[in-house]
Amino acid sequence: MSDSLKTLIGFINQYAPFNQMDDQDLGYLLENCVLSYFPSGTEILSPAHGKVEHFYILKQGEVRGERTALPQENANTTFVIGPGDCFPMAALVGERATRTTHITTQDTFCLVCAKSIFVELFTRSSAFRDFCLRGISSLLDVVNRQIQSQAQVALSDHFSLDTSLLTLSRRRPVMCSPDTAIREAVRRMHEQGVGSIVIAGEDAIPRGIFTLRDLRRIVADPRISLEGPIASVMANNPVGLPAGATAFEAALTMAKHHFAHILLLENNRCVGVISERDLFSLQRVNLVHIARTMANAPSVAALADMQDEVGRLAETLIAHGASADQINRLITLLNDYTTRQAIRLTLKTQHTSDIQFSWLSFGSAGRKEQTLLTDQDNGIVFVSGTDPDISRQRLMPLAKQINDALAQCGFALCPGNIMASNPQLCRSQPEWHQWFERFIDAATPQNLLNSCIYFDLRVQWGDTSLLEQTWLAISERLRQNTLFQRMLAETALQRRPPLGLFSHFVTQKSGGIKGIDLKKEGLSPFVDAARVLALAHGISETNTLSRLRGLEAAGVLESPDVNAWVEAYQFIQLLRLRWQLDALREKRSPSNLVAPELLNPLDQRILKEAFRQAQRLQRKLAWSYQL
Amino acid sequence: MGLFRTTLHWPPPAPETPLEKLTWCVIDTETSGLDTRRDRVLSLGAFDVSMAGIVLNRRFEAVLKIDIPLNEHNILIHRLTPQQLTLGRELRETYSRFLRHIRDKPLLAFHAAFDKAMLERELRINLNLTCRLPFSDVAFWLRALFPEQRQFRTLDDWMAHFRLEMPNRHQAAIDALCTAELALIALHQAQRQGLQTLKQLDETVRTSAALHALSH
Repeated sequence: MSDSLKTLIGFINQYAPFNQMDDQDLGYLLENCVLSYFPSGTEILSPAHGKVEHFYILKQGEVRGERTALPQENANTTFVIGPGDCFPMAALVGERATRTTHITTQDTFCLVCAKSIFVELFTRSSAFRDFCLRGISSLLDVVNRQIQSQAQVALSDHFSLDTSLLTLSRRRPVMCSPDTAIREAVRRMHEQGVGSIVIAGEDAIPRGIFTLRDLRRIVADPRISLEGPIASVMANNPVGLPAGATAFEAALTMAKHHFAHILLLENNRCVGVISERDLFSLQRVNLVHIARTMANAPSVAALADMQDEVGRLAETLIAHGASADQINRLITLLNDYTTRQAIRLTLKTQHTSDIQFSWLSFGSAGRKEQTLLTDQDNGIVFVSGTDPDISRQRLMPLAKQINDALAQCGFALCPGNIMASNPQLCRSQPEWHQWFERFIDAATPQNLLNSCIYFDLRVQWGDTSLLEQTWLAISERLRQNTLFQRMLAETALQRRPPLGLFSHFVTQKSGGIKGIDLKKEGLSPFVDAARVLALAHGISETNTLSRLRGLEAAGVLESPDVNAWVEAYQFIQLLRLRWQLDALREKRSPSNLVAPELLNPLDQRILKEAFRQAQRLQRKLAWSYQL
Repeated sequence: MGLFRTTLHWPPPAPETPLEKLTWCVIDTETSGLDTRRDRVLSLGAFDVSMAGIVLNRRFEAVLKIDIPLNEHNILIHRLTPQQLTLGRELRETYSRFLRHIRDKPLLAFHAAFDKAMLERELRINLNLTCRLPFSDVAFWLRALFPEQRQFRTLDDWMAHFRLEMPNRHQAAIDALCTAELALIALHQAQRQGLQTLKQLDETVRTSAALHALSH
């Protein structure tokens, strides 16, 4: 080894983690470094630079790290580092932009190497790896950061979906009493430069809200006098959220109710107002707009046009660090809008208004776990007159038309014909009841399989109470029938996580690609085990994570276990979403099959850990039923 | 060794070249003494540097196989003992490799006149080659760009001033690395002062040298 390299090794050898690494690795690192100079006051790295591409070791000088919580705020110094320190580890491991602006406060020299060298060292040297991951509480925690990798936007990570609303609402709400004249209320809004005013009584409990949109409406209405009381024109019972709620919950609430303003409440008192703009200037995620456009789409074609937005939205959400659960919930919400609007549009052309029916969804839609790769699993429950066959005959063309409309919107027709247009799945209330009973009475392989699909059931459109009684009765029977549970458990254990001896991935070949099916092999163990345990303990949730949490609350599963399983499930789900988005972006058809060698070493490690968690959950299930 | 002496044409870069575009080769030599007519080069060190930094794997370092008596004071400086030198690299082959490494790059050294004279002589002796090496002097750069520090003379003065730390000084490769660090500081300072091309930098250096001559 050359003298100059030895000298540099001698330098970094004084500092952790380099003092625990062998000379060969250090030589490799230094051979691939550039020694760069940053005069005092240089911004070496900032969130605006996008995904981090380099690893820095300070040789001399000083670097200050600053974070800004909000654009208007002054920057807070989060750290000052000197010779021997290195950065930005978390951003490199997470393959994302840094959250911290790194500025030199002295003339500074840094050894700089490319990310690929960092990754190689990370794989080679356990001392280096441990150092980089220290402070990141567990390997699976790395995941959430890791997955934000596809961030195409230059991210400022503090624009997180988990930001509490209180930190977003920057000032006191503008308020007035119910008897205030409209003109006076609008004058106050104008003076304060706000788009909404909260109307509250002396107890400060909000009675209503009045927004600029309402103003447009009343000015257009000649019957309304601007001298009248504001209470006569305000929106009553405004929607509120506790001040501790997150930006994500606010976005979800706005999308659900189509409101542009949400009150922040503390002890029933209004402490702030969050507007759609507050959220979306922040996130550039126009969820509310998409939801509203979908719900008002004039035609199936217009509805179909909106579907690209869902993919783009998911991508933005991943870039902003959303969890798989959040993305699943949002996609499900938007798919619900699409489905409901497709049904409404179809109903306009068909005359079946005398038959009361509800639209059911099964499988992943029933569990609210939809991703971008979704086919239709649906059915109809109707209130029948004397002869259910007559009603069915009349509903069939309608169901067919809805299925076709959904197909046009990108929900592939179900190859197994689990669709409402299948007469088998268009049933009256008693017919569903009888059919479900038969699953339990005759536990044939087909019926066990059916249970896995149809017991993840949800009313997606229409009166939710149509199947309530049936479901109560069925779930009570399921809870008591341990033999049936045992057989369901057996079925659930048939799909094993794809890990072989010595924790190697076991791949299968499909469509010319050797890989792992993230859905069937990765997620199913969790979904199936959670279903059996939830049905056995009378937990009515259908969502896998909600089922696991429900089982935790019921004392069936231990909290540390549930946490690990939830994380593992979310990792696989997020990996799958990312994979699908990549495919869509590259104009391939999305698939669930992933070739593990295409994943980076860290992803591979975490995926193995996630599969090990799936094995543990299956062992728990096997033990519960002594299988 | 060829019978006829070869002359090597090695022009400096075009004066209008932006400083940002230039990659320099920073060279340092350890020698048996300060007499450019009699002393020999004992070791060589070189690093490539541009405004973006010093690329560590593009370097050259070699101790040469020189068998001449060395005085004690000289050994204390570079710490190359006669035994070490006998283990050094064969001269002709090393200078050929060195030439390939530095060839056609603009060259840079601290007190460049000395290294230039020493190297031109060694190339003549070992490769039978005549050339005028296009050296610039980091010491001149620094004096021109930081005029308030005109009392500084040596590499150590500037190293101490910028608080640059480097163990194992007075090895050719290490001193070349130090010189490269100072060159980086100088190039960024030049940029800060609005100097964009090599010509502008050279002019600043000439003006400062003229002023320096006047004040002495």
